[in-house]
Amino acid sequence: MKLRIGICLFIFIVIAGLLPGCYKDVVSPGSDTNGPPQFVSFSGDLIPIFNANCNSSGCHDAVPAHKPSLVPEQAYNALLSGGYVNTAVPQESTIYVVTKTGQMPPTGALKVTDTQKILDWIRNGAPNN
Amino acid sequence: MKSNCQNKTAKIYYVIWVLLITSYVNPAYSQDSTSVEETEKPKVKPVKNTFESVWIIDNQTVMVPIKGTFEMDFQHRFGVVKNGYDDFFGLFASSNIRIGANYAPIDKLFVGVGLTKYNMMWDFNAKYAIKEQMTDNNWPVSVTYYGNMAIDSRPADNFQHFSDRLTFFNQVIVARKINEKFSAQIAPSLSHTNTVNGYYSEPGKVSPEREHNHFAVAFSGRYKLKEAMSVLVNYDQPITKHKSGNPHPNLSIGMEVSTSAHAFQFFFGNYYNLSPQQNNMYNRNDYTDGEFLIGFNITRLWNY
Repeated sequence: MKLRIGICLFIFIVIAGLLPGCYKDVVSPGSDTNGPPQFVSFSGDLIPIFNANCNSSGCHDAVPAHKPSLVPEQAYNALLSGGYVNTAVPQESTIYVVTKTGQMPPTGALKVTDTQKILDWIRNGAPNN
Repeated sequence: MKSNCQNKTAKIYYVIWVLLITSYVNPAYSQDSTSVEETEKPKVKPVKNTFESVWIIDNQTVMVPIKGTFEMDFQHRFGVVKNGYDDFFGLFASSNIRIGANYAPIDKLFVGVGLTKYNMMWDFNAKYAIKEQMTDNNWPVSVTYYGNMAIDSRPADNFQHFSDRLTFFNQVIVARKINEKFSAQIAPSLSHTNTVNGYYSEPGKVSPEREHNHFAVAFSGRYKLKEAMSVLVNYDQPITKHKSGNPHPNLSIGMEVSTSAHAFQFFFGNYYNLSPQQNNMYNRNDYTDGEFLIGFNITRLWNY
């Protein structure tokens, strides 16, 4: 009897959880790829993204297990000299492609607003600002 | 003296008597069993062990363990092999891990919970054996439903609403044990994600990059090489077409070593994620480019 009550409760929780749970939301990237790029500061906008998602130990850290190093003091040079940024065709930049497609970071994709910041930084000419 | 003799004779009679009884009883049993076999028809039962594990590489199988079974899953996916020595064929690359626990509270129902490293995703799943393949071939296939709800448990700044964390997966699994060695399975599925990324389709208007619902179908097969060793093959074909970021199909092949309580699967495949909806909607690894990775599943069963 207890088991049956448990099962009924489980089914109720599943249904109660599923029915109101279905949505069709769309997240805005924050700026239009075809319009003018938003202002993005490398040190103010992108470094915090790298700190939160990329440069922990064993990943893109100071002695990188995986290139490029994305610690604040090395990130700019590593990205530019390593060929990860393509200012001529920004949308084909490696750093944008791997983050946009969700290949990186391997612990979970970046927010679409963050990948858009990376793209807009490259569209601005990838300044060290 | 006389009584001694009588005692001896009594003992001899006793031994003969016991021998007679035992020699009579034994054939009587065997005779009973043969007579039963001749007269009774074999019982119609559900076919056992269509698969050895609840997993076949990246998909669920039709198998639902018996009531009172507790099961633990340990699943691992390494990085892609093609980087070679740089990350030792993906073994030293960032890997994805899932730990899961399942229990069968009643016959034919299996419920479980798991945590995946990618997106720190909790999944709550349920599996129900709707129909089982029978030994008399009256009903030729086993049919099982599998569904899950997953919650992305990363920090709140990744989401606008709580509902953005949720994804769902529904699958109907149809399988047949064709003979003692070979079993085949087909499993159409529907994945739903509550939120997708947008893009500016025209100035000032944001449109979704992809559909919220995704259909796919999985084909799987198992061939037993030995009693405890099998070859597994699995192919997942996405059906829904999206505006961008279409997922690649998954081709995987592996070995399974199993005992009554363990199953160990070791394989090459394309799926990195361990949640079926993530795999079906977002797989980036293309087998035509050789983007295979190594993975394994370990399951352990306990019966209570």
